[in-house]
Amino acid sequence: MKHAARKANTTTFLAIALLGAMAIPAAAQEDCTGFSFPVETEIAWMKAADSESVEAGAKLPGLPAKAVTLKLKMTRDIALPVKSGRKKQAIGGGTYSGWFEIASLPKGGVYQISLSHDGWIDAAQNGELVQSQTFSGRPACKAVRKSVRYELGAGPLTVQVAGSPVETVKVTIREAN
Amino acid sequence: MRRRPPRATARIAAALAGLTLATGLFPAAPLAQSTAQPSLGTLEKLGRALFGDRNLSANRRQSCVSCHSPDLAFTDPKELGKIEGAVSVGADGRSFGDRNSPSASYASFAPEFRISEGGEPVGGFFWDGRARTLEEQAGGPPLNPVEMGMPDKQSVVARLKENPRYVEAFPAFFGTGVLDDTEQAYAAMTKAIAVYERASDFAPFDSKYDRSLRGEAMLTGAEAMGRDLFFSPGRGNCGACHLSNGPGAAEKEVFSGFKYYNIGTPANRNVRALNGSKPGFVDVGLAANPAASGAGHDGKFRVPGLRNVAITGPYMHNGIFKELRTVLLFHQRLSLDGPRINPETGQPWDAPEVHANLAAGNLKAVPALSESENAALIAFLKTLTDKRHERLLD
Repeated sequence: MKHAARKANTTTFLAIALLGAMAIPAAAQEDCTGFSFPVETEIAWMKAADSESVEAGAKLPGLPAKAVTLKLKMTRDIALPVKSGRKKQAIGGGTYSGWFEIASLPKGGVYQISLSHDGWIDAAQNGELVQSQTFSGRPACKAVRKSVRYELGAGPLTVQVAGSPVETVKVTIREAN
Repeated sequence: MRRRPPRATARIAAALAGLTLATGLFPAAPLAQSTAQPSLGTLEKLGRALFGDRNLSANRRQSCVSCHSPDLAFTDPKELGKIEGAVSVGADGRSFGDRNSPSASYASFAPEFRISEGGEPVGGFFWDGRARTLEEQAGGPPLNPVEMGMPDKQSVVARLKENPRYVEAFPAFFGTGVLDDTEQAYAAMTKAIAVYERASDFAPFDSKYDRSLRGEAMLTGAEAMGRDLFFSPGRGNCGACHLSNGPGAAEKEVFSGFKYYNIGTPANRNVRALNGSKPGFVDVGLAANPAASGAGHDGKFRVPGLRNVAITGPYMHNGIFKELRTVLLFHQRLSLDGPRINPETGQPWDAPEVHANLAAGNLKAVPALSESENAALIAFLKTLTDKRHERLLD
């Protein structure tokens, strides 16, 4: 009887110890499920070490097949090429904003622009904002906070980020599957 | 090294399984970063998918998220040029409503619409309480011609049937054949959306104010002064209309008593000029609600909650005021030495859109506050901002 009780106690102790060991990483683990369209490529690009680092206002020659690490500026100190169209409180004065240009999209189609942190994404062509087609976001996903799809034409593209809580963000853009 | 006997291992597994069920710490599904099309395995997930589904609008360009963005406390982030964010644009890109899109955060805490024992309308959804429940509210925008613009419930259900995930999920949650019955299917859709709107995404209760109540944060001197003014019946007296849990600070307070008043908000002429309103149109508010109709309700609107109020302007039912300070001064305008000038126009306050039923007694009881007191009150109201939006505070 005593032996059985000791075995039971040992089992319970081990279970609790295992629970404790597993609970910390489980709680810290990000959750990138629940996006309404695929973002596997974006997650891989965001996590890869080969991102292209650029300053706000940079011009890229073509569509990058990897993440762009974009250094933003204080929102109050920067004027975006195209007015974001959002309420001022949606962006906030104490946040960071910036943009980069792609000299030429090779072809028109539906593109997916993703952002690693909180903030607003805008796509602009010919000096005007392009209306988004659809959006998906997961605050619990550390790699991709949100992803927005736009129907874009071939030619120059401006990608704007506004209202980020952090100075450096990662952005990806690729043709949607 | 001794190997653990299989039975002991099995017992540990069983014990963990029990803990899984008891605590939910270990979900049955793996925590992998799969980003395949999401399972709609819970009603909340189904509701979230519906909330963000643009296919539920006539031209497939607008979802609930369009005017209730999670990135701005479930309000509309769009400024819309001359509209200045006062109201929202419809799916067609050119129709404008007449009322401000209220925040959907903490909306689920409103009680169902009812007439109190004293004969007073309380609770309900929309500015005029015309939706009795959150489910009824969720069913409104898809069919509103100046919002999502679907012609009828049948067309909405047809859109639901286009989505294989819905075709799988609806019968699983609501019974076989649910999508074959338009009324049942539409009610199921609104039920799922309402379940999502009751989720913690919408009501985290993690603002600085909440944290201060839990001893996790300390309000600054100005914030504490503003809090005291807010709750003081003799000074700010905000709690007279903006508390649901009785006087004094309480956890999970959403800062509305959910009653209806006419506080004399002027018509928003700018919006009326742009939204095609017929000349002479008057928004009578609660009086247009069939469940509360009567001249005694002309011009009354539901008291809004104040969670995230610092980032959810423009204010009032028609978005006429851009700044929170203006709203505070407007509430104080009828007191003996209250402000007589609208700081946004530099002119005297415009006349109420509806003169009848003006809550003049209540408004005269709001004392005029000093500039520093108003600043403190604003500092306090900023502490009602959910943690994830605090970066937006200036």
